[in-house]
Amino acid sequence: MALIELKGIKKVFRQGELQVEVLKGIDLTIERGEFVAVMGPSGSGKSTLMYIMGCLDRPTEGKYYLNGIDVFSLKDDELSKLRAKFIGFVFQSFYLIPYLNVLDNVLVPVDYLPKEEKKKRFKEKSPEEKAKELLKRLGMGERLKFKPAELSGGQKQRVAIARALINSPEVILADEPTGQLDSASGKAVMETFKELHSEGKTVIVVTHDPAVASYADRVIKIKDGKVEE
Amino acid sequence: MRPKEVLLSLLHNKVRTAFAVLGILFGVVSLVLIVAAIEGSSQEAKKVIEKLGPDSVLIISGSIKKGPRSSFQNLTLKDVNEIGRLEGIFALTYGIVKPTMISSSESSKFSSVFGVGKNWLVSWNYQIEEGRGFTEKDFKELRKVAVVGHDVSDFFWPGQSPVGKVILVGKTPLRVIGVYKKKGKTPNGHNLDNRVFIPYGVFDKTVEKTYEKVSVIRFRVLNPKEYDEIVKETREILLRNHRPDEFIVITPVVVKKFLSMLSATLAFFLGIASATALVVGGFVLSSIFYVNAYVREWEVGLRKALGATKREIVGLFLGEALAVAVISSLIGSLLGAAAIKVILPGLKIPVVYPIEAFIIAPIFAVLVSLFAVYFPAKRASEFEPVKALRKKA
Repeated sequence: MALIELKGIKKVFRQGELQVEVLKGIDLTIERGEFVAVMGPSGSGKSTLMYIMGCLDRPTEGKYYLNGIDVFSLKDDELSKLRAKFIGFVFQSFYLIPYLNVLDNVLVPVDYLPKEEKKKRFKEKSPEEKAKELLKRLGMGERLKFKPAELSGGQKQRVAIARALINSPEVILADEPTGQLDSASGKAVMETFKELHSEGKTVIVVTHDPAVASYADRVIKIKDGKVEE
Repeated sequence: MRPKEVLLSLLHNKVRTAFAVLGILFGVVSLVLIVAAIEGSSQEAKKVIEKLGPDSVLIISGSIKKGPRSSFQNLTLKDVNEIGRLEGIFALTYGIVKPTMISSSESSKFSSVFGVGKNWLVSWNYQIEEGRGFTEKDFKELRKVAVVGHDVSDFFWPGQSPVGKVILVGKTPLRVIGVYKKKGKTPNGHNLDNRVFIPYGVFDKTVEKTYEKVSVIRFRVLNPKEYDEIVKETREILLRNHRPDEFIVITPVVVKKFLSMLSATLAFFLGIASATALVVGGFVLSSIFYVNAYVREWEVGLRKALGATKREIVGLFLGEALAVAVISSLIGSLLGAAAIKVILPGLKIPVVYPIEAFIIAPIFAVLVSLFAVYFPAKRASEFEPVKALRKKA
């Protein structure tokens, strides 16, 4: 069973009288353990596709199976729990909560795991222990008590990656993860994704940057709302 | 959402939190105050009734419409004698009063001079501190003797015992035989210690001709079961001798009614004030949290992306509302306690700190806060994650 299976995904945005078809029937399968880059120019619909793959947005038409689950037959709150269990997000603008320190930011998703899942996933290590370990591994072990405002862009993105990993999700979904970083920090972030992939994680990176896409094993090009693999 | 996160969020935006707390704070203070005021005035009412005696009947000249007028003496010794023939009563007494100039050889002052019947001092609970009270002989032989209050004795003979001294009431010299213990002031501010008591017959001869009029009659009932019947009989006697608007019969039931009417009025006005304060506080909190929800729209989007359900988003905001309510309640209770001490004496209400006040006010604060914040919280929980995430600058 494929991890991600999209069938005939269409997305139409309505703006008054105007209808814009952003995705025009996308069929896509991603297996467990792949490192995929979704590439395309801005306005190509790649972000919309990422939001649909991340269960944050619903398509106008089409089917999406995540780990065999018919995603869009679920209600909003069930989708939320599905995200908590399966998906770790990394965003272009980090989205760290300003009033929480590094460690607490990483721990936010833990509260949203269903109780049984939480027990299962943190059987060996407590969430705090795991968060500290992840941050240490990402070179943030000395900055657990720092507030986001005290960090550089590269450091913020590393905290965001630790947050994406804390619940041990099936998929890491990254939207332009290097978009706001200098080239050295961007490179370091991509190296981290590569490392995670080598450990067996499924990583999907959405980008317009060929250099970023070059880290992936498979590049899916989106143009005018269609796949050009 | 952990409690720590709630506090960190509140601390992060101190101005917002301060306004939210202030909004609820006033409601808490006024609620604490109103509960204490009601409790204090009901205690006061109980005290007044205890003072009056639950078994006593008081008749004064005047009418309910025109108010008691001690200067219009409608009651007479005939009433006293007829009431005295009723069975099942005791400690019957009567009196007449006139503000009169009293003097010694050196100085003079105005004082309330009472011509009183037997039992007066005991019946009204004047306790003799020095000397003695009146005896049968004082009344029978119309002895020119007086029992005085502390204000009188301290004025004429500071630091000395007044017993045996002579005062002039009008032009008549009277010998002081006793001083009663300090009684302070009535709730209306009448000084109870600036009084001179003399036998009724002596009053008639020295202060003013009484024509057998009296201003107050008081007696007590032996068996509480007969109380209503005796009051009814008393009224019948008085109605035979007077028009209905010439006298007022005061019983503890009447006093209770009057006092509870007063405290109900108080509760009503203070209640409106504190309800208004809380409702306004609720609106303030609600609008602060509406703004808060939109300012943090991206945070809501993020939390939803990370797996938060609508309920968990509502819980996030309600958690903050609860914290605001708790902080407001703590500060408000302290300020309320201070307000009790400062404001209640001005309203002539005894200072009390009823435990209910410090329970009811926080409960209301929590309910109002949760109710006020529920709507913005609900609105926030319905933000669509994709749109919400785009709101971050």
